[in-house]
Amino acid sequence: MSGMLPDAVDILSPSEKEVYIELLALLANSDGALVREEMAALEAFMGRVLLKPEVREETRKQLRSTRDLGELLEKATPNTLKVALRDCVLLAASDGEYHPAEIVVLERIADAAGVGIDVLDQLYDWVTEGWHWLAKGRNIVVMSIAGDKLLFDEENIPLHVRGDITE
Amino acid sequence: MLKLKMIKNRRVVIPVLTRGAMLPDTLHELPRDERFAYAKLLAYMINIDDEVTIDEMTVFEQRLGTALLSPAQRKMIRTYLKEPPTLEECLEGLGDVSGRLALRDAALMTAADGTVDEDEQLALEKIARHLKIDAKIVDRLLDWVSAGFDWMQDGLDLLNVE
Repeated sequence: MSGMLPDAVDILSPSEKEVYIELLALLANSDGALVREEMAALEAFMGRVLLKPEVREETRKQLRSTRDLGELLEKATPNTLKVALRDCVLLAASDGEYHPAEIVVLERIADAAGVGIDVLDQLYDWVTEGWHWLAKGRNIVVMSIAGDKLLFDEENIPLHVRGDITE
Repeated sequence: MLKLKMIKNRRVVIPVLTRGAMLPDTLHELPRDERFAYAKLLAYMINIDDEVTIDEMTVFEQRLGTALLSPAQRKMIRTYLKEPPTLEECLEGLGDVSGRLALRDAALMTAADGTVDEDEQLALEKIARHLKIDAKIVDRLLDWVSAGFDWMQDGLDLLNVE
């Protein structure tokens, strides 16, 4: 998964990394329910950027308060916005579904980053590819979990065939 | 099967039936003592070649975050970075699932700087044998890490991040 390997997040300055983490924290809090998977993912991203312990503590406190997305978007540099967008999509997916409130945040970050809706859609697909990659890793060490077989089964089926439209 | 949901007139891929395969993986679901044992093994592995690179350290810290350890446990794990435990001590505390996750992520961490030393490879093979897995699995895991690099690059290419 992103954050598990050397990455473009390393090009961000310390202050940019703080804005990056603030954006992730806001996304995690946007649907009003911070589940364990999202918390684990957020802690992982904070670890990944080697955030100072005091900044991590501050970030955890922010999870209980409402942040102004517009302010954060103004503070963020173009690279910060792009990397944050990518990792926000991963974070939003971590509990298994994209909440409508999360999608609103993702689209606002994308807009600020100059990233089109078509690319955002490709990012959703990219996250799904990441799930496949993780499932393969589990398969190698023979510890597949519920859902992995479905991922492998659907791997060779075109998206337009395997999907159905709801709502 | 994936479900496509229309939100604001756009499709969003929602893999409803694959929730079990969620990011960030399964580590956070293990009992705390097993997550601690997992992190202890990574602390051992990161020190094995007497050279901790920034790439290895970032993966280590990332996985430590995912493990959701208590502050006291994190402190203890960080002492292991200065005073590494023996491999045998690390293996004693690992269960079957935590051991397999630790093997996978040890491979990921040791390969993060682009090279896997002989000492690292031998340690990975020793962990595999302890788990009663064919040591050849290590090469497959390293190929898997390489595929992960490609996947990450795809994400950066999508966003034109240089």
